[in-house]
Amino acid sequence: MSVLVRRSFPLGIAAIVGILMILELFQVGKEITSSAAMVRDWVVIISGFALCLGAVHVTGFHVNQIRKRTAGRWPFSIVLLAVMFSYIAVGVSLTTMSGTYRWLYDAINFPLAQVMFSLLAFYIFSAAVRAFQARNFEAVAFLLCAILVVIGNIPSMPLISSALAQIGPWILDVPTKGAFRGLLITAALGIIVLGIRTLLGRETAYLGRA
Amino acid sequence: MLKVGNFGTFYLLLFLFVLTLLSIWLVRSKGMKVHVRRLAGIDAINEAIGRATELARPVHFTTGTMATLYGEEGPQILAGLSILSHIASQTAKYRTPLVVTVCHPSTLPLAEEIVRESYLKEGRADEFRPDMVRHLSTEQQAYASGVQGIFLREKVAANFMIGPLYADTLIIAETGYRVGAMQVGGTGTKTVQLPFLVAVCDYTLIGEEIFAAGAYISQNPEQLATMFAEDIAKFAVIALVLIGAIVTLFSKELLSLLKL
Repeated sequence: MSVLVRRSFPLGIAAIVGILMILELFQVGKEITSSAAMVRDWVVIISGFALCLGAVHVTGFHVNQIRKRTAGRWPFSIVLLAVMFSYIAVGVSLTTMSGTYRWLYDAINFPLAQVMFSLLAFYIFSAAVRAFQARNFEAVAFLLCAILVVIGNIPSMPLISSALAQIGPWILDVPTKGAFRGLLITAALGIIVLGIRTLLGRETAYLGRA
Repeated sequence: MLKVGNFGTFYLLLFLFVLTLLSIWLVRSKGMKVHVRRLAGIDAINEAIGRATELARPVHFTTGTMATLYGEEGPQILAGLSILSHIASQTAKYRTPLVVTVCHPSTLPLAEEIVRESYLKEGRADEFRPDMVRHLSTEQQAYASGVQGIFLREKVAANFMIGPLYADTLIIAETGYRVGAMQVGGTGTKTVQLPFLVAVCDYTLIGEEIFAAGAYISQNPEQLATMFAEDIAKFAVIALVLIGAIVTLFSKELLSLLKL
């Protein structure tokens, strides 16, 4: 493929679409607004194709696993493909509005997702145990703040010591919020500058050319 | 016509745009040198890949779950993919196995192209395999459990999580810890996840650092110039915050002074 198509074409599209969306934000004219709306419609269509691409990719990967009889993996690949195609078949034959389609999702995926999410509590605990080992100054500060926040969350703490109960919420509301806002402002500036770099065609790493 | 409510945004964008162009001009024409402070998280990438190469175990990369390339978190995914470009070049150079997992399929073609290009650039096009980039699931928890499975089965030695990270971050990072992987995490605006990353990962890229990564890795003078522009904007913001704080603190005194 020529250099023009592989390098300049994607950069040009990114710049044109980017500028169009910025102009739309400032409501420069009706033509710009309608063109931007059209681009957004394209995004919906392309994302639909992306989902199809994802399904094709998953199928290809797992068919390969089964074909190669990859140790410890191929039986799971059979289960995955069976479930995926059964679900697609139910959706296509009974439509996605049918009760069976919804039931399959709610009865299988939902509880499994909840189980995974519940495990997060244990992961937080094990991560906290490691993080709160007072090895250096930062870890000690981390540990102290955590203890004070935990103390602040004890329901009966205001009865024991109202001053101690207020330190935890203060840590969350003042220094933590201040630091997070600082991070968000600098991240926002970083996003804008990255956007300008992309519009100017200076950022090419996302095309695999660092 | 320009909407009145957007004046602030317009002037901020204009200011940053002019500043960026000016910085690029200064670097190009006047030969201005831009120094960027050391980003430990980025420097650790090579160390982690080196470790994985010695152990002959794979390197894993993800831009996180839930977010889409065309959504408001798209820039963070792009920033993550810029780092993937460097990681894939290094794994191609040292012949280290690479596994890239994606949650939303909109990232899939871009990630695949980046890895393919990186292998091509390093002269190892024949070693690129399409199964290096894997789409697991669009569901957050299903994706997280898929990554856990890869970690445990393939004994990943280095894990990079850079992008808009959500609650699954800890599930993935904790599994990474259990298999003994060296981990680098980074997120831009998902500040809620930062304490988890700091607690679990060996190195963390915070906020703007992930957006600076592309320029930092390439060391391209024109890209670095844009970071110089960003720093000037940052100083302007700090000055505005300080002025705002002073005005708020002494508002009564200032008002009485104005009345006089």
